[in-house]
Amino acid sequence: MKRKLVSLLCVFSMAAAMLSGCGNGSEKESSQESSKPSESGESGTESAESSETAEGDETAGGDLEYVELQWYVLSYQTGNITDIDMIQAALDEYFLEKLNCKVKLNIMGPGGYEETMSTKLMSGEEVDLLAVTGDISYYTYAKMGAFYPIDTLWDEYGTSLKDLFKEDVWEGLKVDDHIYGVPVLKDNCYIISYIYNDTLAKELGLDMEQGWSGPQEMEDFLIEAVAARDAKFPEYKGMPLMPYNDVFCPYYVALEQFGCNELAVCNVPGKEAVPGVDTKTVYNFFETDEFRELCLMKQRLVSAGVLSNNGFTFEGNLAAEPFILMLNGWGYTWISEDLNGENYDSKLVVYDNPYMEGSGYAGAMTAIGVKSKNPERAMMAMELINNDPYVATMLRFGLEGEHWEKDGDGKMQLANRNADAANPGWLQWYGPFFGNLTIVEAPESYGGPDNIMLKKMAEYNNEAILASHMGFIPDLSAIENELSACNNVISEYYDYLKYGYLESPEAVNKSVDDFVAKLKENGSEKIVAEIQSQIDAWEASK
Amino acid sequence: MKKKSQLNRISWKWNLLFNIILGIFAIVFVTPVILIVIVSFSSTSSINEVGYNFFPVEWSMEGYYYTFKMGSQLVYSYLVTIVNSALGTALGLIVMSMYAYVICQKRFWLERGLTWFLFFTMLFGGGLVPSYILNVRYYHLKDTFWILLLAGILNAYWVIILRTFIKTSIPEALFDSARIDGAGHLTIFFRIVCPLFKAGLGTIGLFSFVARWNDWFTGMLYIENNKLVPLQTLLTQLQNNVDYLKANSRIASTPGGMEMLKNLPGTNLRMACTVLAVAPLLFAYPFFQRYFVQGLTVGSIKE
Repeated sequence: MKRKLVSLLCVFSMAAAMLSGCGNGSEKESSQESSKPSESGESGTESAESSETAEGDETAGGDLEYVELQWYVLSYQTGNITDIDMIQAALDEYFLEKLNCKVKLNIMGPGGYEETMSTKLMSGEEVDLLAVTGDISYYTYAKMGAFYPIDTLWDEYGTSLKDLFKEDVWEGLKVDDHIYGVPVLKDNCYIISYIYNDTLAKELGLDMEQGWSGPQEMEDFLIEAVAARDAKFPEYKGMPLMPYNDVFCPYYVALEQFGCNELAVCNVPGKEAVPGVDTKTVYNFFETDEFRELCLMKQRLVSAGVLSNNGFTFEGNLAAEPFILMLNGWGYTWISEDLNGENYDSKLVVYDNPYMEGSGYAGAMTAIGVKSKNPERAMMAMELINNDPYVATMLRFGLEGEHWEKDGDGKMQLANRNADAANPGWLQWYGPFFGNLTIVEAPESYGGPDNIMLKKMAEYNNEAILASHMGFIPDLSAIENELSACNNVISEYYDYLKYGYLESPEAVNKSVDDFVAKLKENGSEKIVAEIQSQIDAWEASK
Repeated sequence: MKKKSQLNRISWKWNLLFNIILGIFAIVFVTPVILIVIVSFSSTSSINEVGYNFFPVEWSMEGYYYTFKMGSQLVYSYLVTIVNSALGTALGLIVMSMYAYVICQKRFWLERGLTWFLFFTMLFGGGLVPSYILNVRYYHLKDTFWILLLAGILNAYWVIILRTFIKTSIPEALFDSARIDGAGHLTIFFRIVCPLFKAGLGTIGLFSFVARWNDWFTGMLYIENNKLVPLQTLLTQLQNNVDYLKANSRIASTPGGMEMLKNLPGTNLRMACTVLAVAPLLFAYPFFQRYFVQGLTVGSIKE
């Protein structure tokens, strides 16, 4: 009898432990509901006062209560963060003094960022600051309610953030009449360029600056160049002339896209990918003669050895090899001569007319999670990160005296723990997700003399041609099935076409015909019609 | 002189044939592992020249050099993985074997209910987000060693294997006689059951150890502290970064992408990491092999 009672007790305790979690959720949810903003943002203020606790024994005085914030940031250089503890300590000291808070850096590489962050956001975790990337789509997650509307906060907690961008940029970022993130001020427009090997060009007697408006105009020149290179340097035979086999957009064509790959696009004013089509007409780029011609061009470039073929593999940094003549560039406004190592001198040529479309801002942003307990403090921290050169520089290059120094001329030089650029203690250049890039103080080897790279970046942003539909957010729900079916077709055909891997022009033509036919079978025309109707309605409502 | 039994003998010809076939299979399975070890000792220039080759042009320790340059991160990851695998396996065996023992007791009135409860979890899972919410919001296990230890501590399928093992290898009469002698359940479990089903424990222990050693997802999802990142998570992150750049070729020519490309680990580094990750398992496996063989035949003979 006793044993039975004990057994029963054990079973009931197990069940109770399992079910105990259910009750706590409602309390937490109600506190989070109270922290959700109203239109005026007043409840956000109230929740800040109610939810800020006096945890932590490291108050630095001031009017603000001590809080701890989590900042999830994406980095392309996760191998260069050996000194993260040092940087964290410096950030703690800085934020304690300024805002009486700690901002914990959580750095993730691109490989797992989307999955991890989407799980955190979907599960309602209390994320304070996070990097919004192309994978964590700003518009998608903002519509889902995963981000905090920052426009309810910036009048009181982040006035200077609003001044970072023009009004029409903010208009283009509105989702349901609110703004949910702050773009990173960097090369927000498409600054397309090419970088060439000046050493090899001189040895071959090539004029690399002939006023081309895009790489597709360089086809004949490149085919002749590879033949000249192989004739003079037989040991380079079989090696490509360009290290990367780049995608069409934005390197070869400028297209305004709407989240449907190239299935539904518009021309960009002044850079018409398909001549004769006005910028308000939506079309399927895959059906155009221009697409076909680009595929044929790629096939010719691969056949001629300008671009690598499908079976080519290379260990190490191909761009640094002396047999490379040129590579496409995106986002460069200035480069050092040793950008691609010591094998050759690099030179940069920027094509005319940088342009801007919505994804240029939404592709790299910082947002506040809607479940953040301290959205106001997160906003204040975001303002500092985007306005204080000290923080911006520290996040990219580390600490003065530890990672860099000023030389006799007052110029910044990597030193000490960053002396070996191949094995730095902390180096995050150019750190697109660490906030405003234009205020960073960079060594000359990175930012150019007098930070010219960053200054020119700002100039190009201001001068960039704007795409015609800035602010238009497509609703893809009506064409989800067609998009999914067409994306499968794209997976089947597009790689071989865009990289030029087919064996002959005849094969390319046949593949393009089959590709387009299959896209039509799977509803590509409906996609174009749907996007066009949405754009027409958006235009009419303006 | 006694005649040797001819019943289970096979002819030397068939014996030879089976050995040849199994030898071929063994070579097919072992060859890629040998290639990985050789590539890990190849230089970058050798890989460029002859690719993955059993006879590299130039031997080099540069893959391991870059691996050891990770320094303390690698040491921490190794420690975390070893402790998690060993401790987690031990705890898991205790929990699973006790559960298996309980559901073997036909006279226990909750036996059916607990068996059904176990089986039910094998039908479908709640998904990633609910488990994340449970572990983070309610159990507060995020960024702690406990999430690595407790996640997967009880595997329903392995419990069923252990239960079947107990039922088939330990007769019910043994339990009855122990009870008659006055033994309680704990005494029966530790002094009768455990010594008799070492093979089952060894088998499941090996499964559990290997699963924990190879688990990278738990670390990627829950761990933010660099000192708690398991080894496989570290290696997977390295590989994921490489795969990301390949899948998103449009960023290769941007300043961020170019910096990333400069610092991408080469194949020899990745092979060196693979060797370092797999080597302890390769050394541990022979010790568990005899239990594994015994465990394979669990339930093959019905009484």
